[in-house]
Amino acid sequence: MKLTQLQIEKILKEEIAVEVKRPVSELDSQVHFASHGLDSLNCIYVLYQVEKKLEIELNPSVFWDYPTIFSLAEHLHQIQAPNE
Amino acid sequence: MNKLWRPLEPAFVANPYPMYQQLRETDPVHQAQTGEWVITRYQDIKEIFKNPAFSAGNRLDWLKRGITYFNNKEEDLYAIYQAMNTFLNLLNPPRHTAVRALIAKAWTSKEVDEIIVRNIDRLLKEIKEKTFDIIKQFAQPLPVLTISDILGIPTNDYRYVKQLGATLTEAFSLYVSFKELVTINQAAKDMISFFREHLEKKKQHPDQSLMSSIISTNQRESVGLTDDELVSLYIFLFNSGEETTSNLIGSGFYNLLRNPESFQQLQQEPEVMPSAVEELLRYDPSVQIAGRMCIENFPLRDKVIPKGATVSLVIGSANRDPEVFKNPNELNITRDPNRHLTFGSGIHYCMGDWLARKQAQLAFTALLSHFKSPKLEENSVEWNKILTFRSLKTMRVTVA
Repeated sequence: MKLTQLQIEKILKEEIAVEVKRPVSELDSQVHFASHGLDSLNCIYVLYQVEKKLEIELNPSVFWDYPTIFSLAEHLHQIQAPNE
Repeated sequence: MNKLWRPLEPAFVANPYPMYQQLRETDPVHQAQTGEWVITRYQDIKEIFKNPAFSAGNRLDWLKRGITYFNNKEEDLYAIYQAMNTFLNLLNPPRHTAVRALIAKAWTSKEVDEIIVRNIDRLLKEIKEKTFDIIKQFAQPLPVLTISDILGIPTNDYRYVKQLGATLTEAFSLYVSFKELVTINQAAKDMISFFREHLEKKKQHPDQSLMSSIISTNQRESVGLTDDELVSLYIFLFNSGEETTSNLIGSGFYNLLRNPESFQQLQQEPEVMPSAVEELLRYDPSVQIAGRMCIENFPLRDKVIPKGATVSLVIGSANRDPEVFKNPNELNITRDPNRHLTFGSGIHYCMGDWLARKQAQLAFTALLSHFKSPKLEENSVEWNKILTFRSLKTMRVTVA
């Protein structure tokens, strides 16, 4: 089932919130991941969770290539498998 | 995306040199989007190699932090750290000095020609086809057979151990995923039990092998390495003895095939071989990037590398710097001087440089006389997708 960009953004926020131990409401979609307190280790774990939820394979560099929640959600929405 | 540093883009992994050139020319001290600093000019890299403001082993620290972090996620990755804790390239003085001295004292026999020539003959005899993959059938097995003979492990296990070693090496990749870390950890576990088993055997039945000699030197000189550390040191010697030299033989032969005049010159003037190997080392170094950690603020050109920063020294770029090498993108097998940084510089200068050189010289000499005019199958050339280690995955040649 293809998710909307907004749904993907919500998944990203939830996963990041767990990792950085902050409420989802505090996470700004437009700021760099590093400003949320994400480092190279918890990025790896967030990526793994997102891969499982979206059932896709991701390059470990996507966090750096799309460094905000908004831009990553947009990218993930584009590369999602189309509806069967 | 318009970024200078694109280490995962397939086109740049296949040919990273245009990306390096752009970095050298426009931003030689470049902070990448990933946070680390990418250094691409020869003089800067040489300076950092020698300057105590930079330490080795940031990868080991990162892995250590990773193990603690993933432990909280119920995933035990300790084997990766255990397998790599005595890797010489990741150690700093005084421990680095002690382990390096141990290897130097233990490794007294440098007469390896016989072993290498025997392994070359064995591999050439097994090639029966007119068109074959020279990477899989020659470049990959040769160094692993040689280092197995030197260490004293049975060569019939070489494919198994080599595969584990290649997986473990991925821990050096700039960007790894969680799933990859789990796979690497399993390979680390298997490799540890393989070498631990052989350590026990050598303790009970000492022989002339390097593994035995390291055990006795460790005792005699009171270096004090534990069994776990000895196993890690064996894994380091095995890995560094085989993969990089495979890459040198593979990409070196590729570059010779693409430069027929050099190929023919070497067939006619074998005395040029040592200088040709230096040039092949410069032209496509196996280790493209060396990592360092900045331990005090360091001004460089118009920037300051901050304390705590991770630094990527792009050896592949230093070796093509036009300020040091005339016509750097040209293969010139009689280039002199040829002070490439392929083996590093400073206290971490590669200890196995002589073995790599010797093996490559003997391998190319044998290949050039065994195959008079091999033809490169251009479509078969495939590079492995990891920028840190430049290596061919496949390359087919046709012989008359």
